[in-house]
Amino acid sequence: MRLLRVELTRFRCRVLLWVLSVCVIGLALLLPFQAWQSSKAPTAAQIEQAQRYADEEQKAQDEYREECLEQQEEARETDPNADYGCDYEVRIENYLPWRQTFEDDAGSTLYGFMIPLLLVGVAMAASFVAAEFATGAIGNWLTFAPRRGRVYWSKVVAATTGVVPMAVVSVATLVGGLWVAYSLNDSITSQWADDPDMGGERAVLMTPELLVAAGGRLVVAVMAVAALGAALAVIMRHTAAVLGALAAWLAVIEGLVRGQVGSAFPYLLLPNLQAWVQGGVTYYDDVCANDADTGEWVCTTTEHVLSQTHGGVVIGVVVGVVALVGWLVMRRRDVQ
Amino acid sequence: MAFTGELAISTRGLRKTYRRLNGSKHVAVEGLDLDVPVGGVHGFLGPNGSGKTTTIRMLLGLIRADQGTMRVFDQPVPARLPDVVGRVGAIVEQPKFFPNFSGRRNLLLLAGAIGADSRLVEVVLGDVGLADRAKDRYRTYSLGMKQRLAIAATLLKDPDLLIFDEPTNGLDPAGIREIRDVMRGLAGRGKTVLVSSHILAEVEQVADTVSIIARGRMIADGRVSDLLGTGAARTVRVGVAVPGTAGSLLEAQGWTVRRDGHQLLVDGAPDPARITEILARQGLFVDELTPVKVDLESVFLELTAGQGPGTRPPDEHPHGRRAAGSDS
Ligand SMILES: Nc1ncnc2c1ncn2[C@@H]1O[C@H](COP(=O)(O)OP(=O)(O)OP(=O)(O)O)[C@@H](O)[C@H]1O
Ligand SMILES: [Mg+2]
Repeated sequence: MRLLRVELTRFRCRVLLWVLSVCVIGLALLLPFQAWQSSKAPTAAQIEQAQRYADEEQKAQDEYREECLEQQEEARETDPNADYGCDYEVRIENYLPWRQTFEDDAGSTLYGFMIPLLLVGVAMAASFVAAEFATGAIGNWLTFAPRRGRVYWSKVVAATTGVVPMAVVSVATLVGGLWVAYSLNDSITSQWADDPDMGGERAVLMTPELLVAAGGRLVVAVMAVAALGAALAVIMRHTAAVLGALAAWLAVIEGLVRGQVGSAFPYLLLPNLQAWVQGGVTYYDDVCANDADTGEWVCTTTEHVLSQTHGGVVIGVVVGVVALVGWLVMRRRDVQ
Repeated sequence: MAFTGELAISTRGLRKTYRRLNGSKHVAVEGLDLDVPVGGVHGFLGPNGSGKTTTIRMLLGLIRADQGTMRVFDQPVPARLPDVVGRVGAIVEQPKFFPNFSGRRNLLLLAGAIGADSRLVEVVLGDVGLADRAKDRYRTYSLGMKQRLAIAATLLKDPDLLIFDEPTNGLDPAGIREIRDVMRGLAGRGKTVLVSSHILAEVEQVADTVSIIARGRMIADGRVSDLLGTGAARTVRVGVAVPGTAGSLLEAQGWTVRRDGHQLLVDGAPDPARITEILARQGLFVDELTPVKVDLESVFLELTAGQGPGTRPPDEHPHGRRAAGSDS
């Protein structure tokens, strides 16, 4: 406990960690500002112009309908289900500048924020721990606190809890900021939710409650990657090594494997983090084989859902295993 | 064993092998039996690369020994290190602190780790004369200031045993003197100081007892005064009119006698007074009688001759000679 308190003090005293926190909180302020800008109500002039375009389109559509229906009729002789969409209804929204809404876009903004936030979390934890190994201060430290296990866990726990204020403040800023930004522009409700062409396809529309819950899970994810970063820092001893290894892992393993071997997807880091934060992600797996009858190479695409629970469990296991490896390394390490 | 009585440090058969990058093994410490008596300053001498730092790191639990046992204040280490670490302050090689934290912050963190009162930090900073630079970043400190901060850190524990590994490396004469005074002062307060060095002159002036190692093996240990008086060190130059006769007389006593011009060099002789007495009884009168002045340096060079880096591997060495301690 004493060691943990000291480590948390040390966490607070590191200027770099404050700089990183300020950057990420700055981003969390910038994104709502962007949301506010892109969700402004159209001006009277824009509406007028859109109306003009819509009217023209409607006219053209009316003229074309008959011909369209005829062609559709023809087509139905061979394919009874042919639909040429001749009753397409012209909507003025299509001619208005694209406008963001809370329901449509708040979620993706938060999910987009996830990557930089997680990176900062890992970087903070890794630099916090690696600094001690890289400078050799750990040798001195161990002559004051020789119990390696306690020293190790105090560092990992300090890194894990140390990132919480940064994560909570930035996520709260973003979630609150988005709500305020969209509210100010009165742009909460999705424009597409009642669109007959789109409605059926819509994913769950974002609500403030869902966004807050996702934000909460994001904070937990930041803690998890911080623990991962701290353990890796003990193993690798240099911040750059940790970040380099993670970047290489993401680019090479996750990037390539994700493209090549669809079935590996459920065990990759990033998809599981996404599944955990977003409450599940959908992915597609192509299974290709030579068709038994025709001998043709056919691929069937199956849609899978990676659930939130699956994501949480995989991330938990990965972090747990790496933390244990770090502990073993720390216990056996010769400190110079 | 060279020392009886209470021991602050005692190792038996200590061995450490480093693995080189190319996979080959390198024996840094080879069956070391090191004894450091409680109280006083104990010099831990050896040429560069002889395994001093490695031994100290093993004692502090920073690296693992491959073989052998170590005891600090009669507690087996590293097993019971947590129990004794509070009594041991150590500076291994260069002091290492967080470069971007101030001296004070660095000490506050260490004090926190051992649950020491934070007011003690100001006290020890004052003790080493760093009070007015305590708020500056550690990385802006001069070497001497870094060294003093490291000493201040060890004082946080008020240890009974202080281990200084080459503490005067890179210091100016004033700095060296200051460190020497600190060590004597600590010994004067009843603490045990183990100071490693490859600079003999430095240790000779402060140490009460020494251990000399080369290539990871102990080659001599004992009181400084005894080491200076053993082997080549206890040579007496005798000037006498008829060296031939005198030589035979002295050889008859079992001493080794060498001719050096018209003078004799008597090795292993006890008291110069005995020489005068023996010769005088036969009517031979000495016109010169001087103990050949030796210092630890020459003893050291003699003992470690051919054992520096780049010479034969330790296995090919006959087991080093050990000087007889006063009370062994
Ligand atoms: N981390 C290491 N890896 C490999 N070999 C090492 C390592 N540390 C020390 N050695 C080797 O072990 C031997 C003993 O080194 P050590 O640092 O203990 O010597 P020393 O007596 O402290 O020397 P010096 O007076 O130069 O400080 C040397 O040959 C050195 O090259
Ligand atoms: Mg050394």
